[in-house]
Amino acid sequence: MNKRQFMKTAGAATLFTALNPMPGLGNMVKHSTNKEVLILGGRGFIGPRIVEDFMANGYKVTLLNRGKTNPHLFKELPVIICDRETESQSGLKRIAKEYRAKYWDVVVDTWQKSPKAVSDFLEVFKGQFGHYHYISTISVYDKWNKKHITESEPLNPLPSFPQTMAEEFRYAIRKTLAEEAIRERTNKYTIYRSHGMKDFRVTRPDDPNAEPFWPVRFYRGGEILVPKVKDHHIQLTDVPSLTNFMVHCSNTSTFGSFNVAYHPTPFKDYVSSLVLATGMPDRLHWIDGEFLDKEGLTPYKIVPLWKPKPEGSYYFNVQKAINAGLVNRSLTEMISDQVKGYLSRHPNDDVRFGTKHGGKKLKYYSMEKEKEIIQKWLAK
Amino acid sequence: MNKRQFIKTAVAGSAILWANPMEALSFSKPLNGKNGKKALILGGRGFMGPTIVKSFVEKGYEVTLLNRNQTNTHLFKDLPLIVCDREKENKAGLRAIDKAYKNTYWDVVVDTWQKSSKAVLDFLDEFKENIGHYHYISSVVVYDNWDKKYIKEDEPLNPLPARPESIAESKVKKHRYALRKTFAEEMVREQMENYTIYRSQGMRDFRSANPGNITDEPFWPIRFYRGGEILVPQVKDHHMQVVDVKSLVDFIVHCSEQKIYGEFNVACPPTPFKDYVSSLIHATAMPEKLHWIDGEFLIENGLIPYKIVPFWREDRIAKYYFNVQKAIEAGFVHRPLVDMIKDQLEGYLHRYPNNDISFGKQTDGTVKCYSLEKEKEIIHKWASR
Repeated sequence: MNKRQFMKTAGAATLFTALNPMPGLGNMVKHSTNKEVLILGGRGFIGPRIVEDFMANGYKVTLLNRGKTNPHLFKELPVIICDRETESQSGLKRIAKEYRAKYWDVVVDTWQKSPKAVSDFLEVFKGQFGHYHYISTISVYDKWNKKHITESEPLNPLPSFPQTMAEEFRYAIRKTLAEEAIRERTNKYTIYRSHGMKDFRVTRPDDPNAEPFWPVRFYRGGEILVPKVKDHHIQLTDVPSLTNFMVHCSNTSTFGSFNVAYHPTPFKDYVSSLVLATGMPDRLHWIDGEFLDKEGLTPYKIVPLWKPKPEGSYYFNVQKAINAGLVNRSLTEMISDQVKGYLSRHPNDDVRFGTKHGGKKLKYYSMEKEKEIIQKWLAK
Repeated sequence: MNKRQFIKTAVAGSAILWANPMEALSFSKPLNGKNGKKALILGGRGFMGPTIVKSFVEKGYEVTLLNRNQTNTHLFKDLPLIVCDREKENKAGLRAIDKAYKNTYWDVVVDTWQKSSKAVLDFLDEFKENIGHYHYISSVVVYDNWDKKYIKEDEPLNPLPARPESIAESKVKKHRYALRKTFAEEMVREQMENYTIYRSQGMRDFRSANPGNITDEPFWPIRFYRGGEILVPQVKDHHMQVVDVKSLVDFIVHCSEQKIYGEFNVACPPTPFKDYVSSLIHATAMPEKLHWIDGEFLIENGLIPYKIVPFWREDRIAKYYFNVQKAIEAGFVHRPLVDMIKDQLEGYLHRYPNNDISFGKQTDGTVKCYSLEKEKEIIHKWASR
């Protein structure tokens, strides 16, 4: 059985459809809740999963976005066309009148670009929504120098809150500022601190660097280099598990901040799941981490999901979310989705990591480099 | 590559010896010299005992065993042994121990005893003045209610009947396993301040708890080792949880070194059954086909969760969802499941080199899991629905 066949069989054996991750939504609705949900965005990266999950649980969904990203999605749903990133709240104010009498039980916000856009929405639509959900990130924590960080750890120290959209901050600060703006403006919020969200879709579908290294590498099979490092763990967030949790928090009125990810997982268990999702490779070469580092396969920068420093990187404590009802899918299902998404974007499996692409070198390392290092290791 | 070859290759890639792991276990040397500390291991030659002994020796402890000298007497011949039957009434066995040993200060004592809680108490009563840190292997069965997920260490324990006044009153016939363990824990808490109690969940190792009895042979690892077309239950949010003995033992040593006291649930985090299947495949080889069959269909066809199909439980929802965060924060690291499964398989192949045990109905009329024939029949039924 070759890889392609294997994937087909594996796909058929799971509950997923191979090519279209958005199967007939109408059939999935369990019951109507009569609750209304406004999804800010809803058509990029994790947006469609959120929309799909709320619909499947009987919510009446409205989207709010500029109408620019993936306009072919969810044509049957009402869309409020609005650019929330305009100065002086002008975009939001333009629609405010029309929706003045509107009340949404649930609002979901994934915005990461300008914290001012987050606070603007909360101000312009104040009193018009019940439960506000915000997708944040574990980047909001100030220090990652210890393991098992819980939600009560200190967040990044912040500059003063921006007065305009134009003020620029790095990602971690943008997210921390947005969280702060939320906490100041509502009590009924749930904040999801995610950790490297993975899904069928990727954040930047046109950028090969956004494609998942390990799932693609295992899909190709052959002889595979894997780092052998004591107590090597990884941690990721599976998007459908996260969006299910979001619906669960809506249904049960669960408020607060939550780290949302898999438990810290031994890298070798992740490899097991890569194997089930893609097929058994010809051979796994477990190569000493120090050797790899010396040969230029630097942790994290070059080899993904290997990050010895800072020590807390892949060890966030997710027990609070689990106790509240987060159920993580199997890693295998997440990886299968990632591979299927990759093949839908690159049907010829022709992303070549570590090689030049349009004048720019792609991330990670090439198959040639891998082969060379395996040979060097074996010849030691 | 056939299965046998695969396992060999896989094992060669790991740090484990294939030829005779028993031998590997029976001779241990300190890895970085001695640390001047004394450890007394009660038992030490059955099931998880050798793993405990080996780890303490390697850490540099001067290890002494205490047992009846009846189980696996060929193991650890180089270590001092106190021959003693701690299950005699009125502490007769313990009292007969040489004075020199009684006056020895033991930095660490490890007790795994489960058969009589009074035997645990008697030992502590005799030795407690001379113990630095007492470790007791308990079990998650000590918790009273299994009706919720994520049970933590401060949940209520089983209510206890009147205290046993003799060994006979505390033994297997009088008290079920859960009560024996709960009583033993209570006695430990009463007698010692510096104790660590490990509430384990389904310990798995190279060795089986009952060698010679197929009841304790690992069904799923063996099934995947045999390959072919394999039936697996398709159940929503199906999780499993076990504890790898080596990881548990590393944690005992860690708690000794760091003087970590208290009670700990010790297991891998609740793991999706499908991720366990991934590890089974990684440890053995890709089967010809996996048949994910709806759980209700399996039940209708006699493949009852837990009783017949291991690592699947519909009642007692606490079972595979114990909260292990406290142990993890204290330094517990569970090995990759694939390494645990490889150890289990090596142990099985050491006990049954011809891979010739049959699950299903046994000659004595008991039923252990299900046979390959039954599996085939159900796969066929499912496929031809």
